[in-house]
Amino acid sequence: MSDNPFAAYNIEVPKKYAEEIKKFCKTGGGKVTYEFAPFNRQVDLWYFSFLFAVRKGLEPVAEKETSNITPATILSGDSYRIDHIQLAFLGTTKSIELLANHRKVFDYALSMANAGFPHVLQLLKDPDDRPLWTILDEIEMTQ
Amino acid sequence: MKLLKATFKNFRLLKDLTLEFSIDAEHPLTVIRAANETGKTTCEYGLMWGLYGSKSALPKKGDYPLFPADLKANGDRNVEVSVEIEFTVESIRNVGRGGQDIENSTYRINRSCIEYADVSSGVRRESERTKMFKINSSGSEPVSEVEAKRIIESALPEALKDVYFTDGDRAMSFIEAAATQGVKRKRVSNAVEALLGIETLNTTVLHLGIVSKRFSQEIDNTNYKAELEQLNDRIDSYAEDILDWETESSELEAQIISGSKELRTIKVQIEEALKLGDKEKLVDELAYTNRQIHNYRDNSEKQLQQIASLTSNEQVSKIYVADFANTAKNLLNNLNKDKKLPKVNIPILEELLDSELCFCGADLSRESTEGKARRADVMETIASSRESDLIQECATSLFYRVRSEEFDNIKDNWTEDYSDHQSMYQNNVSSLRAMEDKLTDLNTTIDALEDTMINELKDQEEIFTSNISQLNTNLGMRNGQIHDAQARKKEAEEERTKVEKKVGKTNTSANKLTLSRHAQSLFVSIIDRLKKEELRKVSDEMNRVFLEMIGSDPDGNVLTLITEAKLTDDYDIVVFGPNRHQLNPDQDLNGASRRAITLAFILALTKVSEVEAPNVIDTPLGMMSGFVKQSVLLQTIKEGSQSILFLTHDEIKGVEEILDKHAGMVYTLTNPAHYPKMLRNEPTITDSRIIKCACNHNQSCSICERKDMEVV
Repeated sequence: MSDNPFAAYNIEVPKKYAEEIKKFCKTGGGKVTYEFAPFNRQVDLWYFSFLFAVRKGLEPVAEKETSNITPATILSGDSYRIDHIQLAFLGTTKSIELLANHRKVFDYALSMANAGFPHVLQLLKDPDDRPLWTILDEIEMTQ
Repeated sequence: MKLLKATFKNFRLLKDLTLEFSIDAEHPLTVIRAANETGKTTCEYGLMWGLYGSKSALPKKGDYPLFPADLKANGDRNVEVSVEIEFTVESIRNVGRGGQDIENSTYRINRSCIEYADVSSGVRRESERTKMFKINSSGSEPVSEVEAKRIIESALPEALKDVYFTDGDRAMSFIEAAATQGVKRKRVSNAVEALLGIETLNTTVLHLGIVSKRFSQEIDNTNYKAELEQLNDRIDSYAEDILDWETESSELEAQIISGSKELRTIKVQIEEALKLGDKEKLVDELAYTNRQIHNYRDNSEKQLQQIASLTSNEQVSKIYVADFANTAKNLLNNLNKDKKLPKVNIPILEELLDSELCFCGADLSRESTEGKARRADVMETIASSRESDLIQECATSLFYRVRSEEFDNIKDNWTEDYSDHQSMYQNNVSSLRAMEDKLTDLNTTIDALEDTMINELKDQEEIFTSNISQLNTNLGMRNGQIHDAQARKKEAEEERTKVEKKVGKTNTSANKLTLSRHAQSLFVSIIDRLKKEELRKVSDEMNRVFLEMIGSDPDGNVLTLITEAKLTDDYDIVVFGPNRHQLNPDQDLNGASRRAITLAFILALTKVSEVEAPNVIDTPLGMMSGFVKQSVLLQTIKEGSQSILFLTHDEIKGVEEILDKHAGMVYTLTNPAHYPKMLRNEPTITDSRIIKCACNHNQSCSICERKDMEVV
């Protein structure tokens, strides 16, 4: 496990999506099955929104009203996520100098996830299919 | 969707009434016999309210009190209103990668609210909420709010509710003479639009049209003192409700625990009773099947968990960041090739400071003048290297962590994993369905066994299971209400804090009209195209059903007075006579044919919507007699998948034989307020309410027996 440069920060999500995000996570409460709550934890949905925004080339979105879902120390448990956030940042900015500014890199991750949320939640609410299959279809269709 | 049962509590005159509906494929008709002023329309509103809620289902956008009038007059301050509906839905559900499973599910939806008798505003409705449960062989399990909405919307789209729930008079509005041509066209157009489900598109067009106005809103100057008092009252009232409901929840939980214990005892008794005879094998098989179902359900959830983990694993991360990761890796590789990685100066320089001599042999002594000067140079270099070293360290660390990571061709591995897991899941679901079918067969076999004691025990088991299920529903509702009231109380408290500070503020506006107008015109053209295609289908179906209803056969008899009915592109319902002579439906048709064409229109809409749904119609046969009356009834039964008709005693006259043949259920509603003018016997109840008896269209009892007006 690598050192976590983001350990001092919190993972925050836009307040307006906070309740909806919980609905699609198993830890969000209620006895919903994985078909309706395809993400285990809120951090997993957050990270998927980040990935989605990176892949689709979305513009980062800054949010003023946010809710703290968990400390970013949780990323140490999936350390590849730290590497991939740094790689996505470096690949986007092409600046080695900025890479050492951990706050800036983490803000990039937060604002990309903000940009991804409305699209990912739209997929999850697709009336024609259950959320798990919609997300898996989305991944399968990704080229 | 097919309706199974509906229970109304304190819904106006329906204080405690349960209606059951036939789902027998051979007898799909349910007839509820009820005289005028006996709650027929209220039942319809109750069903719609149960499914769609106040704003959509009740008149005046929900501003329609449900509080039973006599309770209010007696001084009751609040009343809990609820409607509970049980229904079945057959659905094809996707299980990923094109796999499908046919599922026949039973659900129970319970909508409730509390109405407060307010001196100032009449009646105030609060805490309206719904809870849905899926009923299965092992009891009931709650359905999430999102899924509940989806189930109702796919089974019985809200936009078509006026087609599925209608009455003879309301249906006439499509052609009635009192309306102008424009109004009639609008009504027909609305129904077709509802069929297409383009309400959302229309709402979007309207929304885009008014978007600019929304930026000019200003906060008004409210009387904050009065508002504070109201908020304080409301918070107190929520606190009282929460306390009451918490007590009630504890009682319900105790009842569930005790009922479950009883149920377990009965199940053991049944198993032992069956073992006494030669049915031991059957019992073992039943227990084995139940265990298998339990195992398959567990496996399903475990397999779903594995499939769900595919949304969040490292492979997915690599697939999504591949492009940028490869760019970043190239950058790091180039730095490495140029020997810029690793390049960390400080540790080497710090090592120098620990010795008396440099690598090159120069003096670094702490004592000599030359050595001191060199040591000062080294320390200065350390200070200036700190920032660049941090950057180098970060890049170096990342380089070594990812240099052997592969980001290309990950997708194939992920797809293979998904395919394997999904196929295992689908196999498991198929096995589960087979076991459930087997369980149904086994239960049917056991039910058929002639054994009085077992039958009695099984009756008890059914009653206990049903009671526990009902208690669970009530507990779920109560807990939901507590949660809801707590949230409202919290909101009210936050609102109170805001009101205390509020002095008034204004909104700023933004101009995004150009974009909204482009979007508006795009939506309008999509809607136009959809409407034209569906209009033709509805027109053809309406013509076929209408000609059947009125017994018209233009090919078989040239003297036929009505040859065709059509829905024009302008949304006019028109009728043609011989030689395509156009007739005006509201002037040139008799009363019975006018009703027939509007019912034909409704049935055509149901047919074209391709939704298996009930047709709940209040007084469909008014003003009809003879052939047309019988034919309209037969067509209504034939064209619909489940017909639920509220018929008056007069409407039933002349169609008794059809009811004998097609009705799976017939019962009677009575309003005791009709005594002594219309009812023969004095009612035994003392308050105002609608009561049900089991009398069919040919029977009467002490509750429903009516008398004719005495002609002097």
